Amino acid sequence: MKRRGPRILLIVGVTVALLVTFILTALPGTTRSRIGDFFGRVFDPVTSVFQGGVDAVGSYFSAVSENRSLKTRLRELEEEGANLRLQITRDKDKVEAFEELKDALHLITHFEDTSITSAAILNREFGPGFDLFRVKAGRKDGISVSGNQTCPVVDQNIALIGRIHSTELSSSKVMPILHEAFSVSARVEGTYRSSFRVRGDLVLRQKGLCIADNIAEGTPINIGDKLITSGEGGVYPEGILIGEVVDVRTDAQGKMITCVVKPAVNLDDLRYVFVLMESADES
Amino acid sequence: MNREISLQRRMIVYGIGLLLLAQIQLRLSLDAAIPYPDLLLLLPLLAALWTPGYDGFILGLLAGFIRDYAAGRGYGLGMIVGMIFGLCASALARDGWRQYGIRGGLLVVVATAVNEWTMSLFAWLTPLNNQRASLGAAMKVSFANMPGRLLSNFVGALLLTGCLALAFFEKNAKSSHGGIMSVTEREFDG
Repeated sequence: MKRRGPRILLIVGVTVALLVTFILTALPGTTRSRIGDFFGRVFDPVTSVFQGGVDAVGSYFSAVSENRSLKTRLRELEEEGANLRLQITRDKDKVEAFEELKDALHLITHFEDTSITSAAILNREFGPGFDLFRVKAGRKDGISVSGNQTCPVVDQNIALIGRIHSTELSSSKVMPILHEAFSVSARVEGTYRSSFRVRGDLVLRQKGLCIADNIAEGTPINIGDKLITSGEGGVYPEGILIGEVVDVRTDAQGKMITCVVKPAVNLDDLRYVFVLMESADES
Repeated sequence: MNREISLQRRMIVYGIGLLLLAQIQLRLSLDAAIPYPDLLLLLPLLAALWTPGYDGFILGLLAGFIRDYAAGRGYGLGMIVGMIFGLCASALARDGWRQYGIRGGLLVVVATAVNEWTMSLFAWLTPLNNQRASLGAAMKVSFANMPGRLLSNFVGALLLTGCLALAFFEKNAKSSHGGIMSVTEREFDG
Protein backbone atom coordinates (compact mmCIF):
# COMPACT_ATOMS: atom_id res chain seq x y z
CA MET A 1 0.00 0.00 0.00
CA LYS A 2 1.51 3.31 -1.05
CA ARG A 3 1.51 6.05 1.55
CA ARG A 4 1.36 9.28 -0.40
CA GLY A 5 -0.14 11.40 2.36
CA PRO A 6 3.04 12.32 4.25
CA ARG A 7 4.91 12.99 1.01
CA ILE A 8 2.24 15.29 -0.34
CA LEU A 9 2.11 17.07 3.02
CA LEU A 10 5.88 17.51 2.92
CA ILE A 11 5.76 18.97 -0.59
CA VAL A 12 2.87 21.30 0.25
CA GLY A 13 4.62 22.36 3.48
CA VAL A 14 7.89 23.11 1.69
CA THR A 15 6.05 25.03 -1.05
CA VAL A 16 4.17 27.16 1.46
CA ALA A 17 7.36 27.81 3.43
CA LEU A 18 9.18 28.86 0.27
CA LEU A 19 6.34 31.14 -0.81
CA VAL A 20 6.40 32.83 2.59
CA THR A 21 10.19 33.14 2.33
CA PHE A 22 9.84 34.72 -1.10
CA ILE A 23 7.26 37.22 0.07
CA LEU A 24 9.40 38.14 3.08
CA THR A 25 12.66 38.40 1.21
CA ALA A 26 11.26 40.18 -1.85
CA LEU A 27 10.28 43.12 0.32
CA PRO A 28 12.98 45.75 0.74
CA GLY A 29 15.07 45.69 3.93
CA THR A 30 14.01 42.24 5.08
CA THR A 31 15.68 39.00 6.11
CA ARG A 32 17.37 38.36 2.79
CA SER A 33 20.71 39.52 4.08
CA ARG A 34 20.93 36.86 6.78
CA ILE A 35 20.35 34.03 4.33
CA GLY A 36 22.68 35.54 1.76
CA ASP A 37 25.35 36.41 4.31
CA PHE A 38 25.63 32.83 5.44
CA PHE A 39 25.66 31.35 1.94
CA GLY A 40 27.83 34.10 0.46
CA ARG A 41 30.66 33.44 2.92
CA VAL A 42 31.23 30.09 1.26
CA PHE A 43 29.92 30.58 -2.25
CA ASP A 44 31.41 33.94 -3.23
CA PRO A 45 35.05 32.97 -2.57
CA VAL A 46 34.52 29.77 -4.60
CA THR A 47 33.07 31.85 -7.44
CA SER A 48 35.99 34.27 -7.31
CA VAL A 49 38.55 31.45 -7.34
CA PHE A 50 36.76 29.72 -10.23
CA GLN A 51 36.49 32.88 -12.31
CA GLY A 52 40.07 33.79 -11.47
CA GLY A 53 41.16 30.34 -12.67
CA VAL A 54 39.22 30.65 -15.92
CA ASP A 55 40.66 34.12 -16.48
CA ALA A 56 44.17 32.90 -15.74
CA VAL A 57 43.90 30.06 -18.26
CA GLY A 58 42.39 32.41 -20.84
CA SER A 59 45.06 35.01 -20.18
CA TYR A 60 47.82 32.45 -20.63
CA PHE A 61 46.68 31.57 -24.13
CA SER A 62 45.78 35.08 -25.15
CA ALA A 63 49.10 36.45 -23.83
CA VAL A 64 51.02 34.61 -26.54
CA SER A 65 48.88 35.94 -29.37
CA GLU A 66 48.62 39.43 -27.97
CA ASN A 67 52.29 39.85 -27.18
CA ARG A 68 53.07 41.71 -30.39
CA SER A 69 50.18 44.13 -30.10
CA LEU A 70 51.03 44.69 -26.43
CA LYS A 71 54.56 45.74 -27.34
CA THR A 72 53.24 48.27 -29.81
CA ARG A 73 50.69 49.50 -27.30
CA LEU A 74 53.36 49.76 -24.61
CA ARG A 75 55.45 51.99 -26.83
CA GLU A 76 52.42 54.20 -27.48
CA LEU A 77 51.59 54.36 -23.79
CA GLU A 78 55.14 55.30 -22.87
CA GLU A 79 54.96 58.13 -25.35
CA GLU A 80 51.57 59.17 -24.04
CA GLY A 81 52.87 58.97 -20.46
CA ALA A 82 55.74 61.28 -21.31
CA ASN A 83 53.35 63.79 -22.85
CA LEU A 84 51.04 63.59 -19.83
CA ARG A 85 53.92 64.16 -17.41
CA LEU A 86 54.85 67.22 -19.41
CA GLN A 87 51.26 68.41 -19.31
CA ILE A 88 51.04 67.84 -15.54
CA THR A 89 54.10 70.00 -15.04
CA ARG A 90 52.55 72.72 -17.20
CA ASP A 91 49.17 72.48 -15.45
CA LYS A 92 50.54 72.36 -11.93
CA ASP A 93 50.29 76.09 -11.55
CA LYS A 94 46.76 76.09 -12.88
CA VAL A 95 45.68 73.40 -10.40
CA GLU A 96 47.12 75.36 -7.51
CA ALA A 97 45.34 78.47 -8.68
CA PHE A 98 42.06 76.52 -9.01
CA GLU A 99 42.37 75.10 -5.49
CA GLU A 100 42.98 78.56 -4.08
CA LEU A 101 40.00 79.93 -5.98
CA LYS A 102 37.82 77.00 -4.87
CA ASP A 103 38.72 77.53 -1.23
CA ALA A 104 38.04 81.19 -1.56
CA LEU A 105 34.66 80.83 -3.25
CA HIS A 106 33.62 77.60 -1.49
CA LEU A 107 32.95 75.91 -4.78
CA ILE A 108 31.70 72.37 -4.67
CA THR A 109 32.75 69.96 -7.38
CA HIS A 110 30.69 66.99 -8.44
CA PHE A 111 31.06 63.88 -6.30
CA GLU A 112 33.16 65.70 -3.74
CA ASP A 113 31.29 64.09 -0.86
CA THR A 114 31.28 60.74 -2.52
CA SER A 115 33.58 57.82 -1.99
CA ILE A 116 34.00 55.15 -4.63
CA THR A 117 34.32 51.40 -4.17
CA SER A 118 35.29 49.17 -7.05
CA ALA A 119 33.73 45.73 -7.43
CA ALA A 120 34.10 42.82 -9.80
CA ILE A 121 30.93 41.43 -11.36
CA LEU A 122 30.31 37.90 -10.08
CA ASN A 123 27.43 37.08 -12.39
CA ARG A 124 24.91 38.68 -14.73
CA GLU A 125 21.17 38.20 -14.99
CA PHE A 126 19.81 34.77 -16.04
CA GLY A 127 16.43 35.72 -17.48
CA PRO A 128 12.98 36.76 -16.28
CA GLY A 129 12.72 36.81 -12.50
CA PHE A 130 16.49 36.44 -12.23
CA ASP A 131 17.18 39.86 -13.67
CA LEU A 132 19.69 41.42 -11.28
CA PHE A 133 23.44 41.01 -11.32
CA ARG A 134 25.77 40.46 -8.43
CA VAL A 135 28.97 42.37 -7.64
CA LYS A 136 31.70 41.55 -5.17
CA ALA A 137 31.26 44.36 -2.69
CA GLY A 138 28.85 44.35 0.19
CA ARG A 139 28.11 45.70 3.62
CA LYS A 140 31.64 45.08 4.83
CA ASP A 141 32.78 47.51 2.12
CA GLY A 142 30.39 50.12 3.44
CA ILE A 143 27.59 49.63 0.92
CA SER A 144 24.17 49.84 2.50
CA VAL A 145 20.65 50.11 1.16
CA SER A 146 17.65 51.12 3.20
CA GLY A 147 14.24 52.38 2.18
CA ASN A 148 14.71 55.04 -0.48
CA GLN A 149 18.45 55.25 0.10
CA THR A 150 20.62 53.40 -2.38
CA CYS A 151 23.96 53.75 -4.11
CA PRO A 152 24.49 54.54 -7.80
CA VAL A 153 26.73 52.19 -9.76
CA VAL A 154 28.90 53.58 -12.55
CA ASP A 155 31.66 52.43 -14.88
CA GLN A 156 35.20 53.76 -15.13
CA ASN A 157 33.99 56.70 -17.22
CA ILE A 158 31.35 57.65 -14.60
CA ALA A 159 28.58 56.45 -16.90
CA LEU A 160 25.51 55.15 -15.11
CA ILE A 161 25.18 51.37 -14.88
CA GLY A 162 22.36 51.12 -12.35
CA ARG A 163 21.83 51.14 -8.63
CA ILE A 164 22.36 48.80 -5.71
CA HIS A 165 19.21 46.75 -5.13
CA SER A 166 20.21 44.79 -2.03
CA THR A 167 23.36 43.99 -0.13
CA GLU A 168 24.82 40.99 1.60
CA LEU A 169 27.92 40.94 3.72
CA SER A 170 30.39 40.51 0.90
CA SER A 171 28.32 41.03 -2.23
CA SER A 172 25.45 43.12 -3.57
CA LYS A 173 22.82 42.84 -6.25
CA VAL A 174 22.67 45.59 -8.84
CA MET A 175 19.59 46.67 -10.75
CA PRO A 176 20.85 47.67 -14.22
CA ILE A 177 19.74 50.82 -16.02
CA LEU A 178 17.79 48.69 -18.53
CA HIS A 179 15.68 47.04 -15.82
CA GLU A 180 12.00 48.00 -16.04
CA ALA A 181 11.98 49.02 -12.37
CA PHE A 182 14.91 51.42 -12.79
CA SER A 183 14.29 55.15 -13.09
CA VAL A 184 16.40 58.26 -12.71
CA SER A 185 15.82 61.99 -13.03
CA ALA A 186 17.71 63.35 -16.03
CA ARG A 187 18.38 66.45 -18.08
CA VAL A 188 20.15 67.27 -21.31
CA GLU A 189 23.87 67.87 -20.82
CA GLY A 190 24.76 71.52 -21.10
CA THR A 191 21.28 72.83 -20.36
CA TYR A 192 19.48 73.60 -17.14
CA ARG A 193 15.93 73.14 -18.45
CA SER A 194 13.38 71.08 -16.54
CA SER A 195 14.33 67.54 -15.75
CA PHE A 196 12.51 64.41 -16.88
CA ARG A 197 12.63 60.71 -16.20
CA VAL A 198 14.77 58.05 -17.82
CA ARG A 199 13.64 54.52 -17.08
CA GLY A 200 14.01 50.93 -18.17
CA ASP A 201 11.46 49.42 -20.53
CA LEU A 202 10.71 45.73 -20.84
CA VAL A 203 10.52 45.72 -24.65
CA LEU A 204 13.36 48.18 -25.35
CA ARG A 205 15.57 46.26 -22.93
CA GLN A 206 15.89 43.49 -25.50
CA LYS A 207 17.60 46.00 -27.80
CA GLY A 208 19.79 47.45 -25.05
CA LEU A 209 17.82 50.70 -24.90
CA CYS A 210 15.77 52.59 -22.31
CA ILE A 211 13.16 55.33 -22.47
CA ALA A 212 12.83 58.96 -21.37
CA ASP A 213 9.37 60.19 -20.42
CA ASN A 214 7.61 62.80 -18.27
CA ILE A 215 9.16 65.38 -20.58
CA ALA A 216 7.74 68.86 -20.10
CA GLU A 217 6.38 70.56 -23.20
CA GLY A 218 8.96 72.69 -24.91
CA THR A 219 11.97 70.86 -23.54
CA PRO A 220 14.48 70.93 -26.39
CA ILE A 221 15.69 67.39 -26.97
CA ASN A 222 17.21 66.24 -30.22
CA ILE A 223 18.65 63.02 -31.48
CA GLY A 224 22.28 62.83 -30.43
CA ASP A 225 21.82 64.82 -27.21
CA LYS A 226 23.62 63.46 -24.21
CA LEU A 227 21.61 62.95 -21.03
CA ILE A 228 23.02 63.27 -17.52
CA THR A 229 21.55 62.83 -14.06
CA SER A 230 19.86 65.99 -12.80
CA GLY A 231 20.63 65.36 -9.14
CA GLU A 232 16.96 65.66 -8.20
CA GLY A 233 15.66 63.07 -5.80
CA GLY A 234 18.93 62.83 -3.89
CA VAL A 235 19.84 59.31 -4.94
CA TYR A 236 22.07 60.04 -7.91
CA PRO A 237 24.57 62.89 -7.82
CA GLU A 238 24.23 65.44 -10.57
CA GLY A 239 26.27 65.01 -13.73
CA ILE A 240 26.52 61.25 -14.15
CA LEU A 241 26.34 60.39 -17.84
CA ILE A 242 23.25 58.32 -18.67
CA GLY A 243 23.30 57.98 -22.44
CA GLU A 244 22.42 59.45 -25.78
CA VAL A 245 19.05 60.14 -27.37
CA VAL A 246 18.66 57.89 -30.42
CA ASP A 247 15.00 58.45 -31.23
CA VAL A 248 12.31 61.02 -30.44
CA ARG A 249 8.70 59.84 -30.41
CA THR A 250 5.91 62.30 -31.00
CA ASP A 251 2.16 62.09 -30.80
CA ALA A 252 -0.37 62.94 -33.55
CA GLN A 253 -0.10 66.67 -32.81
CA GLY A 254 3.66 66.53 -33.16
CA LYS A 255 4.30 66.98 -29.45
CA MET A 256 7.24 65.04 -28.11
CA ILE A 257 6.12 62.39 -25.67
CA THR A 258 9.08 60.06 -25.17
CA CYS A 259 12.68 59.58 -26.26
CA VAL A 260 14.57 56.36 -26.78
CA VAL A 261 17.93 56.46 -25.01
CA LYS A 262 21.00 54.36 -25.66
CA PRO A 263 22.90 54.00 -22.38
CA ALA A 264 26.46 55.28 -22.44
CA VAL A 265 27.66 52.16 -20.72
CA ASN A 266 28.12 48.95 -22.69
CA LEU A 267 26.61 46.44 -20.28
CA ASP A 268 27.86 43.45 -22.28
CA ASP A 269 31.52 44.25 -21.79
CA LEU A 270 31.43 45.08 -18.11
CA ARG A 271 33.66 43.21 -15.69
CA TYR A 272 34.16 45.85 -12.99
CA VAL A 273 31.84 48.49 -11.61
CA PHE A 274 32.23 51.39 -9.21
CA VAL A 275 29.76 52.04 -6.41
CA LEU A 276 29.32 55.69 -5.40
CA MET A 277 28.72 56.10 -1.67
CA GLU A 278 28.31 59.11 0.51
CA SER A 279 31.48 59.69 2.47
CA ALA A 280 31.33 58.63 6.10
CA ASP A 281 32.71 61.95 7.30
CA GLU A 282 30.10 63.95 5.42
CA SER A 283 28.17 64.86 8.54
CA MET B 1 21.42 -1.66 -17.72
CA ASN B 2 20.45 -1.55 -14.11
CA ARG B 3 22.27 1.19 -12.27
CA GLU B 4 22.69 0.34 -8.62
CA ILE B 5 23.92 3.73 -7.62
CA SER B 6 24.80 4.15 -3.98
CA LEU B 7 23.71 7.19 -2.01
CA GLN B 8 27.33 8.11 -1.38
CA ARG B 9 28.14 8.10 -5.08
CA ARG B 10 25.07 10.13 -5.96
CA MET B 11 25.90 12.68 -3.30
CA ILE B 12 29.46 13.05 -4.57
CA VAL B 13 28.42 13.29 -8.23
CA TYR B 14 25.52 15.66 -7.66
CA GLY B 15 27.36 17.72 -5.04
CA ILE B 16 30.38 18.32 -7.23
CA GLY B 17 28.15 18.65 -10.29
CA LEU B 18 25.96 21.29 -8.70
CA LEU B 19 28.90 23.36 -7.53
CA LEU B 20 30.71 23.09 -10.86
CA LEU B 21 27.64 23.77 -12.99
CA ALA B 22 26.70 26.75 -10.83
CA GLN B 23 30.17 28.20 -11.34
CA ILE B 24 30.06 27.52 -15.08
CA GLN B 25 26.63 29.17 -15.38
CA LEU B 26 27.75 32.24 -13.43
CA ARG B 27 30.81 32.47 -15.63
CA LEU B 28 28.80 32.03 -18.83
CA SER B 29 26.47 34.81 -17.74
CA LEU B 30 29.42 37.24 -17.87
CA ASP B 31 29.96 36.53 -21.57
CA ALA B 32 26.34 36.88 -22.59
CA ALA B 33 26.95 37.36 -26.32
CA ILE B 34 25.18 34.10 -27.20
CA PRO B 35 22.37 32.25 -25.38
CA TYR B 36 23.78 29.81 -22.85
CA PRO B 37 22.08 26.80 -21.24
CA ASP B 38 20.39 27.20 -17.89
CA LEU B 39 22.43 24.45 -16.27
CA LEU B 40 20.88 25.00 -12.85
CA LEU B 41 17.48 24.26 -14.37
CA LEU B 42 18.67 21.25 -16.33
CA LEU B 43 20.56 19.47 -13.56
CA PRO B 44 17.53 18.63 -11.36
CA LEU B 45 15.56 17.52 -14.42
CA LEU B 46 18.18 15.15 -15.74
CA ALA B 47 19.23 13.96 -12.29
CA ALA B 48 15.61 13.05 -11.56
CA LEU B 49 15.40 11.10 -14.81
CA TRP B 50 18.69 9.39 -14.12
CA THR B 51 18.14 8.52 -10.48
CA PRO B 52 14.49 9.03 -9.58
CA GLY B 53 13.43 9.43 -5.99
CA TYR B 54 14.10 12.59 -4.07
CA ASP B 55 17.32 13.46 -5.93
CA GLY B 56 15.57 15.83 -8.35
CA PHE B 57 13.53 17.36 -5.54
CA ILE B 58 16.58 18.14 -3.42
CA LEU B 59 18.73 19.24 -6.35
CA GLY B 60 15.87 21.47 -7.54
CA LEU B 61 15.76 23.17 -4.18
CA LEU B 62 19.54 23.65 -4.02
CA ALA B 63 19.91 24.80 -7.63
CA GLY B 64 16.95 27.13 -7.18
CA PHE B 65 18.55 28.62 -4.11
CA ILE B 66 21.74 29.37 -6.05
CA ARG B 67 19.69 31.02 -8.81
CA ASP B 68 17.83 33.07 -6.22
CA TYR B 69 21.07 34.04 -4.52
CA ALA B 70 22.84 35.01 -7.72
CA ALA B 71 20.20 37.02 -9.53
CA GLY B 72 16.78 36.62 -7.91
CA ARG B 73 14.55 39.31 -6.49
CA GLY B 74 14.11 37.33 -3.28
CA TYR B 75 14.62 33.80 -1.98
CA GLY B 76 12.19 30.98 -2.61
CA LEU B 77 10.82 31.41 -6.11
CA GLY B 78 13.65 29.65 -7.91
CA MET B 79 13.56 26.95 -5.24
CA ILE B 80 9.85 26.28 -5.76
CA VAL B 81 10.26 26.09 -9.52
CA GLY B 82 13.31 23.82 -9.22
CA MET B 83 11.59 21.59 -6.69
CA ILE B 84 8.47 21.16 -8.81
CA PHE B 85 10.48 20.41 -11.94
CA GLY B 86 12.51 17.84 -10.00
CA LEU B 87 9.36 16.14 -8.75
CA CYS B 88 7.73 16.11 -12.19
CA ALA B 89 10.87 14.66 -13.76
CA SER B 90 11.02 11.96 -11.08
CA ALA B 91 7.42 11.02 -11.77
CA LEU B 92 8.18 10.75 -15.49
CA ALA B 93 11.36 8.70 -15.14
CA ARG B 94 11.31 5.30 -16.84
CA ASP B 95 13.87 2.65 -17.75
CA GLY B 96 15.85 2.67 -20.94
CA TRP B 97 17.76 5.13 -23.07
CA ARG B 98 14.91 5.46 -25.53
CA GLN B 99 12.50 6.53 -22.82
CA TYR B 100 15.17 8.79 -21.36
CA GLY B 101 15.62 10.47 -24.75
CA ILE B 102 11.92 10.96 -25.38
CA ARG B 103 10.92 12.02 -21.90
CA GLY B 104 14.10 14.02 -21.34
CA GLY B 105 13.59 15.91 -24.60
CA LEU B 106 9.99 16.66 -23.76
CA LEU B 107 10.91 17.70 -20.25
CA VAL B 108 13.58 20.10 -21.47
CA VAL B 109 11.11 21.75 -23.86
CA VAL B 110 8.28 21.96 -21.34
CA ALA B 111 10.50 22.99 -18.42
CA THR B 112 12.21 25.71 -20.47
CA ALA B 113 8.89 27.12 -21.63
CA VAL B 114 7.16 26.83 -18.26
CA ASN B 115 10.16 28.31 -16.46
CA GLU B 116 10.30 31.25 -18.86
CA TRP B 117 6.59 32.00 -18.62
CA THR B 118 6.27 31.33 -14.90
CA MET B 119 9.19 33.55 -14.04
CA SER B 120 7.90 36.26 -16.39
CA LEU B 121 4.52 36.06 -14.69
CA PHE B 122 6.03 36.18 -11.20
CA ALA B 123 8.28 39.06 -12.20
CA TRP B 124 5.21 40.86 -13.47
CA LEU B 125 3.22 40.06 -10.32
CA THR B 126 6.00 41.28 -8.03
CA PRO B 127 7.34 44.48 -9.59
CA LEU B 128 10.26 46.16 -7.87
CA ASN B 129 8.57 49.53 -8.05
CA ASN B 130 5.15 50.95 -8.82
CA GLN B 131 5.57 50.94 -12.60
CA ARG B 132 5.23 47.82 -14.64
CA ALA B 133 4.74 46.84 -18.25
CA SER B 134 1.62 45.05 -19.40
CA LEU B 135 1.43 41.31 -18.96
CA GLY B 136 1.09 40.99 -22.73
CA ALA B 137 4.43 42.75 -23.25
CA ALA B 138 6.11 40.54 -20.65
CA MET B 139 4.81 37.40 -22.35
CA LYS B 140 5.76 38.71 -25.78
CA VAL B 141 9.34 39.16 -24.63
CA SER B 142 9.27 35.63 -23.20
CA PHE B 143 8.11 34.23 -26.53
CA ALA B 144 10.78 36.16 -28.39
CA ASN B 145 13.52 34.67 -26.21
CA MET B 146 12.18 31.14 -26.38
CA PRO B 147 13.93 29.71 -29.50
CA GLY B 148 17.40 30.67 -28.28
CA ARG B 149 16.74 29.34 -24.82
CA LEU B 150 15.31 26.07 -26.13
CA LEU B 151 18.25 25.49 -28.42
CA SER B 152 20.84 26.29 -25.76
CA ASN B 153 19.05 24.14 -23.18
CA PHE B 154 18.94 21.23 -25.61
CA VAL B 155 22.68 21.48 -26.19
CA GLY B 156 23.22 21.82 -22.44
CA ALA B 157 21.03 18.77 -21.75
CA LEU B 158 23.03 16.69 -24.22
CA LEU B 159 26.32 17.70 -22.63
CA LEU B 160 24.94 17.10 -19.16
CA THR B 161 23.67 13.66 -20.16
CA GLY B 162 27.16 12.79 -21.34
CA CYS B 163 28.61 13.96 -18.04
CA LEU B 164 26.07 11.95 -16.02
CA ALA B 165 26.73 8.86 -18.14
CA LEU B 166 30.43 9.18 -17.43
CA ALA B 167 29.93 9.92 -13.74
CA PHE B 168 27.65 6.93 -13.23
CA PHE B 169 29.50 4.63 -15.60
CA GLU B 170 29.86 1.08 -14.34
CA LYS B 171 32.04 -1.33 -16.22
CA ASN B 172 30.08 -4.44 -15.25
CA ALA B 173 26.62 -2.94 -15.12
CA LYS B 174 23.97 -5.55 -15.83
CA SER B 175 21.38 -4.53 -18.35
CA SER B 176 18.22 -6.11 -17.09
CA HIS B 177 15.87 -3.50 -18.45
CA GLY B 178 17.90 -2.17 -21.34
CA GLY B 179 17.86 1.38 -19.98
CA ILE B 180 18.50 3.69 -17.10
CA MET B 181 17.34 2.37 -13.77
CA SER B 182 17.90 3.34 -10.19
CA VAL B 183 17.29 1.56 -6.96
CA THR B 184 15.67 4.70 -5.65
CA GLU B 185 12.90 4.59 -8.23
CA ARG B 186 10.85 2.25 -6.09
CA GLU B 187 11.43 4.48 -3.06
CA PHE B 188 9.74 7.36 -4.85
CA ASP B 189 6.84 5.28 -6.07
CA GLY B 190 6.31 4.01 -2.57
